[in-house]
Amino acid sequence: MFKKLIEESTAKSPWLFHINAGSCNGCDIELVSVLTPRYDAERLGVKLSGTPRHADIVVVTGPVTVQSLPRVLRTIEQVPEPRCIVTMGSCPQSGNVFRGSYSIAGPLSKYVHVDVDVAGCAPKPEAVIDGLVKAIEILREKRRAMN
Amino acid sequence: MDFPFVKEALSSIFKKSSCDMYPVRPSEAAPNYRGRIVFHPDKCINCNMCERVCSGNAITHVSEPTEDGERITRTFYLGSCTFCATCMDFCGHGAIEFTRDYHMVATKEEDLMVTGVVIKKTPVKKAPAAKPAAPAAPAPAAGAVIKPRDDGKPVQVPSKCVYCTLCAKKCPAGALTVDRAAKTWTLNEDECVGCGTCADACPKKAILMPGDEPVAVEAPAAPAPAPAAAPAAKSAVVGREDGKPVQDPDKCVYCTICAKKCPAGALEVDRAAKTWKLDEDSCVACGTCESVCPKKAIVCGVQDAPAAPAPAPAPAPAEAPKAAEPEVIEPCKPAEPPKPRDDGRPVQDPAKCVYCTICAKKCPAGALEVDRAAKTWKLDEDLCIGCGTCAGVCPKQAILY
Repeated sequence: MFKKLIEESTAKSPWLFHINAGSCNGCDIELVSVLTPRYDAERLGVKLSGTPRHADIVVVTGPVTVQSLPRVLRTIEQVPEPRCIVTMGSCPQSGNVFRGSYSIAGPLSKYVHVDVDVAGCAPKPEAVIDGLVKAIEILREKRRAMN
Repeated sequence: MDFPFVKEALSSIFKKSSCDMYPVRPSEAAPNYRGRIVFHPDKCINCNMCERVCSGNAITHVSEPTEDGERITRTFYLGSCTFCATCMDFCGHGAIEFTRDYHMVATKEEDLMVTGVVIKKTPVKKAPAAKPAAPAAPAPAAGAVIKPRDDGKPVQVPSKCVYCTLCAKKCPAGALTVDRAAKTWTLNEDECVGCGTCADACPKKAILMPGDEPVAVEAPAAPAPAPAAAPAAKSAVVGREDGKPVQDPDKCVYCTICAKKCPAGALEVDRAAKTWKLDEDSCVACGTCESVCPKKAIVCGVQDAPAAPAPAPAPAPAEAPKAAEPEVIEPCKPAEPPKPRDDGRPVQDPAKCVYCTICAKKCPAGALEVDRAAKTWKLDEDLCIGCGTCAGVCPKQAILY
């Protein structure tokens, strides 16, 4: 009974963990603005979590530099299943203007399965909310598939 | 105890929420927001400028040959785009558009691809037989006046035309078909770009372009034989039937003017060795050599050819400046050999340029201004995007890029 209660409550509050994998800070600022009263993603139950172990959605920004790659992977491994990985901005999807640089290990999809891509440079907060809504849907499906 | 924010807190309870309530209440991006790209393949001229300026390498193309050209699929990967709109700025034809649509959320990579197919057709060289026949037919009506056309395309004056085929050879669009034997001059209306190269190339001024004086077609045969008889009598040599030039060694002073003026470069004259050589393959039998020769030492064609009237009425003073011309032209050729510029902009080679204006017409940025009459070629440095289209379309390779 408790398990069911916990499951239901976690389904309604997908917590968010943000990894900066060498981002220029543009996407990070937009992500933070999503949580401000104006866009207020917390309406959707989203809350920025301090640790990957409590998170359901991982938002990755930045082109995944060689330095950050092992840390990104280690952090993502700590996020319990079911989890949803969201890339934010063009960088983690392709490397963007940093593509081909010696210090870029990306794109992220080479290493982990990416569920949702939010394009933009940087994406509008509304687009990030769109992405989170999509991520919550995917998360719900994944949870259903697991049970 | 002090509660400084109690008043604020209590009054805010009854205020409207400051939240945008985004997914519930749709929100529109600000004007001029650069969101999802829309590509208009019908406007694209495939200059590839967008690909070259894209900092994120987001624009790619795949081209596959088809029967009558190329099929180019251009793809914009929004997942690699910085939305800087440089491609849009550089696209002179407005084929790239940034919309205010920011809903770019994808679960698959394909969702972030914007593609468009450009069909590039190679120009058809062969003119359809039916079309040119129509405009050619009404032309040779005696007593009528041949007027230049309004649409910028050339008109032939049959009384002057010697069917030398030079115009057809010079036409960068391949729109002219001239048959020397059948004495036909046909224009393919679809291919003609109205550049005026044919009119400039015509040694007989038998092609009228807009702005030219209309020509009356009265008795096209009458003036031909009369003056023709004069040079025929003077000339000791007999003209060739194929219209190619024959030198009269007695009159020739080996001044090399004919070689310099030959549009086909078919003549080789050595002043010192006193030789006059004709390259039969290059010669287009245009009669230019005959008309420029100050000594009338060249005979082109048999005497009944309408080529004769041109040199006959030309008085001696008219030839005097012509003789002086080589001195003017010669020093300027080696003096300024054009070099390609470092900044990726085109440079004109005045020696090769025929001022056909094709480059100006094809320039996607409208940066070129070419005046056929004034023989000027102007580049607007600010507008030029350095795409190289002008160099690509130049029929004379007169643009260095």
